[in-house]
Formats: sequence, C-alpha cells, structure tokens
Amino acid sequence: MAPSPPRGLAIWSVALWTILLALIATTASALDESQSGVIDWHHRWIGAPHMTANVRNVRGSNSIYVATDKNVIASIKTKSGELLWRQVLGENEIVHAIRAVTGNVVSLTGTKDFHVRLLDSKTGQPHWDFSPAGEGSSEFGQAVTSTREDGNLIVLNEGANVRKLNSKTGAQIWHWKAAAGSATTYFSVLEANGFTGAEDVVYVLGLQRGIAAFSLEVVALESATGKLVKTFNIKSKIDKVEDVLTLGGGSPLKDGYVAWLEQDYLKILSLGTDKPTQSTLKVLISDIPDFEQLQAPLTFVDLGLPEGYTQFLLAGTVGEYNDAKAAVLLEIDQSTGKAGIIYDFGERTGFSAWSATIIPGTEDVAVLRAYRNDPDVAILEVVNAKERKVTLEQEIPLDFEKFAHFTFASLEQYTKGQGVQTRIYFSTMDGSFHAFSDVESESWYREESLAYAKDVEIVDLPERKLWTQDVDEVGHVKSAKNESIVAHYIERLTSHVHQLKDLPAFLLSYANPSSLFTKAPVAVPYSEVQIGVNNTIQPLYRDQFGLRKILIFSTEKGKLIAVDSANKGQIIWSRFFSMGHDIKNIVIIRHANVRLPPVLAVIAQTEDGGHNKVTRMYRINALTGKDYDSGNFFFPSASWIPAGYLSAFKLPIEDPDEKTQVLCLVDDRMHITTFPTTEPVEQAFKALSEDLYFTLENKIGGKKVSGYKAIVSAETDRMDVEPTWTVPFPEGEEIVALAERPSYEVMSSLGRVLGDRGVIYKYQNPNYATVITANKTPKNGMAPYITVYLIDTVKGSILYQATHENVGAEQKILATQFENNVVYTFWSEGETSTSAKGFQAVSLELYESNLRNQRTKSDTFSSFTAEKPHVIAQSFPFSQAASAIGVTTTKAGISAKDILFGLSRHSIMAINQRYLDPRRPTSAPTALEKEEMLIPYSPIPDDARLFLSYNLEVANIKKIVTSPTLLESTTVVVAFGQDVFVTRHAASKTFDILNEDFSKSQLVLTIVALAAVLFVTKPMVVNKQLRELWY
Amino acid sequence: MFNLYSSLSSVSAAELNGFLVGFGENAHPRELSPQTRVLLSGGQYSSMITKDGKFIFANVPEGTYLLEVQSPQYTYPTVKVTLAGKETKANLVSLGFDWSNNDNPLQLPLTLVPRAPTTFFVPREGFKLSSLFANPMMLMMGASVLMLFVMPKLMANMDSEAMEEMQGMQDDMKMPSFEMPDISATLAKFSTGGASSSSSSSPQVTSGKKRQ
Repeated sequence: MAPSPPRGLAIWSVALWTILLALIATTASALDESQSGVIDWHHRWIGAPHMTANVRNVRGSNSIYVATDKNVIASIKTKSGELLWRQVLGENEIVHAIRAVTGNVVSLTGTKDFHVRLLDSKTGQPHWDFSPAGEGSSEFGQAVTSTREDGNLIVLNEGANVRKLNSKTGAQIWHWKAAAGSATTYFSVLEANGFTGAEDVVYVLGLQRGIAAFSLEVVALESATGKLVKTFNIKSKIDKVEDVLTLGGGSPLKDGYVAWLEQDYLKILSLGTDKPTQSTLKVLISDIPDFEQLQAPLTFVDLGLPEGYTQFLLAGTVGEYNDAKAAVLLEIDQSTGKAGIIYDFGERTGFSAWSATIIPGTEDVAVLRAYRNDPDVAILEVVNAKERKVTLEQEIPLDFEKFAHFTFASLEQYTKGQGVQTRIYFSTMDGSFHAFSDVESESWYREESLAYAKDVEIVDLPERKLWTQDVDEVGHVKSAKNESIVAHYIERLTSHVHQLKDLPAFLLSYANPSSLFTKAPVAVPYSEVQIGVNNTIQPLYRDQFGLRKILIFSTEKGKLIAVDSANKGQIIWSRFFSMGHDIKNIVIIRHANVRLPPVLAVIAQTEDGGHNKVTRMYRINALTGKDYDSGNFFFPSASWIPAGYLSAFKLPIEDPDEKTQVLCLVDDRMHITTFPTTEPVEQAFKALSEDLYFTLENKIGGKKVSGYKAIVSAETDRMDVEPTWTVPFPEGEEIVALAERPSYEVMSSLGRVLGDRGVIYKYQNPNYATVITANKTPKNGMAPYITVYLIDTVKGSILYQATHENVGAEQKILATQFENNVVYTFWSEGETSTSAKGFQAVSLELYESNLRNQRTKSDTFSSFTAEKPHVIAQSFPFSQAASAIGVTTTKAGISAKDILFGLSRHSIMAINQRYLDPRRPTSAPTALEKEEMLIPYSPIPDDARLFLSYNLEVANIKKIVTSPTLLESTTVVVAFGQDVFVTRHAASKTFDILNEDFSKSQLVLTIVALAAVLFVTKPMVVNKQLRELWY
Repeated sequence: MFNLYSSLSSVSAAELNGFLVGFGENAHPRELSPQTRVLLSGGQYSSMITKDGKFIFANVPEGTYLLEVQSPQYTYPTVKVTLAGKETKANLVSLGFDWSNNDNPLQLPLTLVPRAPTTFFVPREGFKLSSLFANPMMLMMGASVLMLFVMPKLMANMDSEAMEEMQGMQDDMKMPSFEMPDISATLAKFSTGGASSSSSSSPQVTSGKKRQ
C-alpha cells in the first residue's frame, strides 16, 4: 500500500470541489436583485406630445400634463423634464382631450368605447372612471368644459351625448342626447352668457349635414338640469370642422362666440342670438402687405386659450414658393361683435407653431410663434397682445439635421420676483420634445423620437487595438490620414509612452488588498432627459466580451438614432431625414475593420416634385452618423433610383474596392439594382443570379405569397425579377404573422440525441418560411380560424400545414422561426363551452425523418428534391398576452435558446426552449425520456422570475431583437416599440465567465487555508514516512 | 357588481365591475400601482383601476370570459366569468385545466384578493460555510475522504477470512459499467439545458472509481 500519494490527491480534490462548488450558480435562471439596473437599462418614452394642460399657477407649475399620439397621458416635471408618471393607454384608446381641473387632470379617451377619467396629479391613478355603456367616440365629437359655479364637468362624446358630471365623484348629474338619426354632429360645448328666459345655459355647437356643406346649429341646455331650452339653426355654409372656432364664454356672465370661415367671409355669432356678423376677409386683411401673395385660403389657428378669451389667429401660406406663413391676431370687439386685427405677425419662412397663454397677474394674452429660418437655430417670439409688442425674441440652437421644424408648441408664463418668466415646450418633426426656459439650467429635451422606433441594426464596435480611421490609439482625433511609416512608428512610440503613465495606478490596483473585496457594480439612476445638445462623440471601443454595441434605431418619422448599448443607453448620434423620407431598411454593409469604420446603408422612399416615388440610398459612417464618402466615384454617399422600394437584401458578395457587402435592391419596376455597380460586382452578380431566389411584398394583410428569381439578360445587361411561384390562400384568409429563419443564425448540432444515444437529424433547409393566415369572419357561421403554412421559398411548395379552429380574432398572433423550430401563439376560444379559453403557444420541430439515425441520402441539401420534413407539434397553454416575440442568438449556437416574449403587461419574459419542446411526454416519462431529460407535459410556467424586465413597465414592446456577443453564453436583448429596454441574457447561465457571486477574497482565503493545512500536515507526513522506513 | 343594461343599440351587452384589494391585513386599494390593469379575454377588453380598487367594463357582450389582473405588485387568481344577465357567474380557474368544473365559485360583486406579492428576483445565495458543508455532494466527498483514512485501518484489523468473504461479495456485485461519456450526447444535453444533472452525475463516477 502506498497511502500518501492518494491521500494528497484526496486533499486536492477536496480543495478543488470546494472551489467548484463555490462557483456553481443557483439553479434558477432568474435575475437577482443587485443585477437589476446594472446589466440592463430602460428608457421610458411617451411619444411626441400634441396636447398639454397646465395647472394655472402664478408661481409657475411644477409639472405639465401632456398627451401624445402614442396614447399616453403623462406628467413631466417642468424644471428638469423628468417623467413624474404616465398612463399608457390601450392601442385603440385615443386621447381626445385633457384638461387640468383642481390640480388633477381630466382625460377623454377611447375609440370603440368612451372614458372620462380624473387622474391624480401625483400618481396618475384615476380617482374615478366614467364610461357610459353602449357608447363610443367619434372623430371630432368629444369635448369637455367645466362650469364656473360648481366646477363640474360638461362632457360631450360621440358628437351626440352631453353630460354633466360631478368632478369629485364622476357621478352623472344629467344627460342630454341628440335625437336618434339626427343629421347634426356636435363638436363643442361652452358655458356662456344666456339670453332672455334662460340665464344659466350650456351651449352645444354642432354641424348639420346639408347637401353641399354643413350649417351651424347651436343648442342651449339648462346648466342645472340639462333640459333643452332652445335650438338655434344658423344659416351658413361650412366646409369642415377646422373652419369653426369657439371663443369666449367660460362663465355665465361672459359672452360666448362662434367664428367661422364661409367662402370669402369671416362670420361671428354671439351665442344666444341667431344673427351672425359678417366681415369680408379681403377688406379685413387689406392693410397687411404680407397677405398680398396669399397662395391658399386663410385658415384658423387654435391658440389653445382658456375659455373667456376671444383672441384668435388667421394664418395663410404666402410667398412665391409656398414656403412662408403670414399671420394676424384678431380679437372680437364686445360691443360690435366683429373681429379686428390687433397684431400683425408678419411673414416667416418654414413652418410656424403657435401657442398662447395669459400673462400672470393680468388678463392679457401672450402669443408665441416658434419658427426656424436657419439650419442651426430656431426663433421663439412672444408677443404681448394688449401692448402689441414683442416681449421675447430668443434664438435657440436647434439642429435642422436632427430636429427639423416645429410641430407643436406650448407657452407658459409665471411671475418670479418682479418679472415675468417664460417657459416654452415644443415638439419637433422628428418626434422629440423640448423645453426652453428663461432660466438656462431649466432648458431640456427628451429624445421622444425613440418611441417611434420601428427597426434596429446592431453594430459591433471596433477593438481598441485596431484603431479606427478617425481616431488614433490614444483617442485623439486624427488630422492627417496618410502618414509615412516613420510617422506611424513615432506615433506608436509616443502612444506607448503615454500609456506608461497608467502603469503605477495599474500596479497599485493589484497591490491594493481592497481590490480583492470589490463589490458588484451598483445601478446608477438614469434619466432620459438630455440637457443641452451634446455634439462631442467619445471614441467608441468594444469591451472585453463584445457586450458593448451601437444600436441604430430607425423610426417611423424618418430619424436614425444611435444608442450605446452600455452607458445606460446614451445617445451617440441622431440624424433626421426630412422631406418625407420613409426609411424602409437599414443594413450594415461593412463591419468595423482595421482602420475602416462600419458602414450603414439607409434605404428610404420619398417622393419627387411630381409625386413620383423615389428610392434613395445613403451610406453612413455608423460610428458618427455622417455621410460616408470614400471619394470613389462608384461609392457615392447618396444615390437614388426613380422607382418605389420593394425589397433590399445583402448578397453573399463582397466588393473588392471598399470591402462592403453588395446590396441588392428590388424596385417596383421589378428591376434589380446592385450597390455598388462596379464591373467585378456585376460579374459576381451574374454568376450568382442563377441561384438567387427570394420572396417579395410578403406583408401582414396579404392574400398570397410569391417567389421570385433574378434574371440577367445576356444582351442588355439588364437585371430583372421574374415570378416563379405563387401560393394563393383560400378565400377569406389573410396573412397575420410571418417568420423567417434569421440569416445570421448558427446551428451547432445537426441532430438531437435521444435517450438511447440514437440521433434524430434536424431539418436544415435554410429556405423555408412560416406564414400564418387567419379567416376572421368565415361564411358559414364558423368561429375564426388560423392556418399555419411552412413554405419552401425556393420552389413554393407547402412543407407543412395545420389549422386551428376557434381562434380569437382580436388577439395578436405571433410567430418566430429558428433552427428547425417554429413557435407561434394565438388565443383559443375553446372548442366547446367547457373548454378553457386562453393563449396557446405551439411549438413545431422539423426533422429529416421520423426514424432515428435516418438521414436524407444526399451529401448536399437541395430545395428541388421532393423530401418533406417530419414535423413534431405540440401546443401548450400560455398565461400571458404577448405583443412581440424573439429568440436569443449566441455566437456558436451552443447555448440553450430562450424564446423571448414582449408581453402586453409591459414586461419581457424568457421561456426556455425546453418548456416548448414538442417531445415533452404527456404520460409518465419512460426511462429513455428521463435519460433525455424531457420535462413532463405541463403549461408554460407563469412565473414572474422569468421576466427579464422584472417589475419595470416597458411600454408597448413591438419588436425584440437579439445579438450575439463574444461570450457564447450571453446574448444582448433589445426590446423596443415605445420604451427601449436593453439587457444581457444568458439562457444557459454564464458558464464561460466567473459568476457574479464569485469573490476573489474567497478564493484567496481558501488557498491560504489550504497552504496552512499543508504546512501543518507536511511534517506529519514526513514523520510518518520516516517511521515507515524504520519499522 | 354585475349590472345588466338593456341597451338599445347592442344586443345583450352587459356591464361588469368589481374590486381589487391590496395584500395583507390592512391593505388599502390606494396602494395598488396605477399601472394595474384588469383584462378580459387576453386584452380584448381592458380596464384601469380607480383609487378605491374598482374596475369597470361598461360594454361587453354576453359570453364566457377569462378575467385576469396584470399587476406589477401582486399575483391575483384568474377567474372565469360567465356574463348572462342575472345568471352571471364567476369561478376560479387555473392554467392548463378545462372549464367544465364549476368549483370555487366567487361571491358577487367580485372582490379579488391577491394570492401573494409577486417575486421577480431570486435571492442571491451568499457564501456560507454551513451551506457548503450541508451540500449533499460535499457530504459525499467528506464520507469518501473519511473512508480513505479509515478503510486502511479497518482492513488492517480485519482477519483474512472476512477479507476473502468480502472480496467474493464484491465480485458478485455487478458494478455498473461506466462508459466514457459520449461527448455529443453531453453537448446535446448541455445545449438543451441539461447542465445541472450532468454535473451531478460526474462526482458519482469519480467516487465509484476510487472505491475500485
């Protein structure tokens, strides 16, 4: 026996196990609290406000209420721009009006239904919610006003129902309904001075449909009871509701007015009478020289003044090129009932945004005009209407390239000390929201354009060692691009010398024992608010594990915004493509290379002067957002095609000159253009075109899918598109969901190993797509059904088809496809009255054969063989309503995959693929199934610990995009749609880096302890060995 | 409370309302998050809750619905609601079971009490010496190490007969054959997320070998 060597081994193995056990993470793949906000960040967006409500306060309000076209009502801190609270309403719940009432805010919302809510000023929680049964909302027929005496609300909805609601409880005091089948649509309510016989009245204004135009109808209701007092039918010809303004009123003592434009006249009716006054517009504006070049009829501009004021604006487009606006401010003269001009705003180029407010401490009106006539700055002009003079004319820096023109503005004035302070809130065309304040530190802006993100391209950053073209090793921006070798050498030497200065600190950091006990990083609070416009871009480098990336979002409004995936999502650059650019596609055509920056191709569709479609392509440096112009004739930074956009995709060709990937653009003339169009690229494309198959115009709502092929004419060198196949869907079915395998996906394993070590081989066809169609209103009284098709996109054959009956038509249907898997979800109404209703997640797995160890007898896969995959399908009850679906992607595809669901409850949930395995045994698992570690069949777990976004409210997720990192275990997850949420997720846990829990101190302590043990036991062992030799 | 309004425009549209309560003994609905929503049919109809915890669906056609509560704070039970005028019923249901069973009827007006506060995080297991030694694998290792020290002494004390007997017993016992683990299988397991049990099987292999 030789006991000592194994004994030593045993000790070491104990030590090893100690260390290993310390490393093994907890078994659940959930977040731990200290990670929240460290590995992820969340931007809360609300969209571009188009409505504001202020609590009128002499000292200036703390917060401003805004409503946006994203159906959000929010409260924003006026001084800092922070979001205090927001209420994210449903997709169809349009905000018709908001109004500050006794410090809180009243909202009128809805489309199919109608809600009046009083939202709390501090939390946004409704105090009460009034929703009349069986009523909805119409386009213009919603209005609210409050009565002077008791502060109760008069609410109009559907253009027909007028109610008085108690503003404290939401209880209905009275209800007046227009006669059924009435030709009048009401659009406004106003409390104003009554007439003989009725002192306390509420006027309801409506437009009565006539043969050619509308005529005005005014209904007077008794304010206390809602009884109809009188109906005034005013003889008039009004074209549209925008030509009518309600003015004055707001108290039973003040006169109310209606002003409207009727052909060449401005007519004003004092409410309670039936004889309007009339002024000829031409005469009215004859003194204003700017209106001489009037291009279009004058229009009203609603200044958003509170009730009781009779100032309004008349504006018109002037100038030779339709490019300027002139406007005059008018006020109604109480004695004559006619309007007179009180201020001429003059002519200004570009778009103007208007707003007005009451100057604090007075009853005077201040009017704001915001406009720009310079690419770098915009001008805010405030006019005191009574004194008829400009009180503020402020130039503010506002980059046209980023924000373009004003779309909305809101003026607020308050007293501070002796003077009057001004705050101006405004939205711009790109969707961002800004505030200007007299106090410089209180000007801010929110990049709300990110709320309109529709697509993202994820750009890997260059390594630090491979410095880029623009920035050298030390991070200095380079001046000269071409340098000699000697210069390079000197530069390198100096940079190394520069780096030497960090050496002592580096050594100290290792020598310092406290570095052993470093705590995990702590979440830093982040604010979406940008203060000032930051134009300096720090040099961007990849981190050690490639977790840091640039996320380039394209928005519905035509803006590109580059966001740092680390650093809490700092905005790196943004660029607005004005002139109606509809960004169709953004593609990275070159990744960061040695000395070459990454290049992003932006493909947008616009219209030219003659309303013809034009497709434009821009090449942009993805690190800076500037045009990327290499100086080569064949690589322009901007180019265009005189045709509409159909599709653009990358070809597996790289051009030899610029090392960019060749882009293939198909336009609506069915013509192909490659970018670039150099000779070698054309040759390569010709060779490739034989096997180039693709699908076009597959979109939600389509009734068929079609496949196309590229053809190159030998004589003319024309590259065209030829249809090859079409799959028309049966009558009544239309596409509701589409999914394709991501082109960048890596499949690590060819097959799946069974319990008995047999293998079933995965179906590896890269050219199949999932199409789900729905028939929402079948003819013979059937419930809606959906059909799932797996279609080979090369030859158009249907590989698999399944139908689900009794599907919910209203709920969203989602599908995703990866490797040999398809996952889709839908709402099931149940077959019989006793079957459960709920969401179902269906998982399909495609295999080459249903037999184990059986492969297709061919070395290569061809789409033109007749083999069909063997499909295993299973459905699982799923408890969550989802709005977006995605899958994790890793570098080599070895890690397990998680299916990511963007939930309607504003969270992101990660479900491991094992739970969606169609082979999960439905009866007691056999030994083989246990060996394969299949989980017995059960519904998808409903566990909040699977939420990547924990308790955050990530509003309205429309898309989830993932990107691999250099760590096989880890995926960067980007969820967007309104809010943006970015996190890192490891579906199989982070097996390739040390656990977060791992502490160096533990390791050191263990080693020290082991050394001590060895120190003690060594003499013992030596003694023993000595004794063994003796005896 | 369920009220039926015989509306002129839509046939058999019903109104459904009820209350949510907070968690704990003296919970006030005011503490509920303003983000809380009550859904019918997976979001076909949705309602906010007011400060007193009330939710309201003003205009829902008669039929059977699944009512669920989306709250960032608490987990609420899911309810099957059969809207049919005065016959309106509500029953608790759970995911994955069919609705033929009408057990667990709920009182009307509907008052929903949360099951528990929602947990989003897994508490981090800090380093504890006791937990390290309470680990079954650790205990196993300890036992085998102990055996390593004790066995030679025991063997030395044993007489030769007993020794032979034991040897015979060992031969009779069919030791399970430990094949070399199949790399592809391990990887496949690994990629399907079976990491936990593959790591639990390996220490058995080592300890078994040591015994031989």
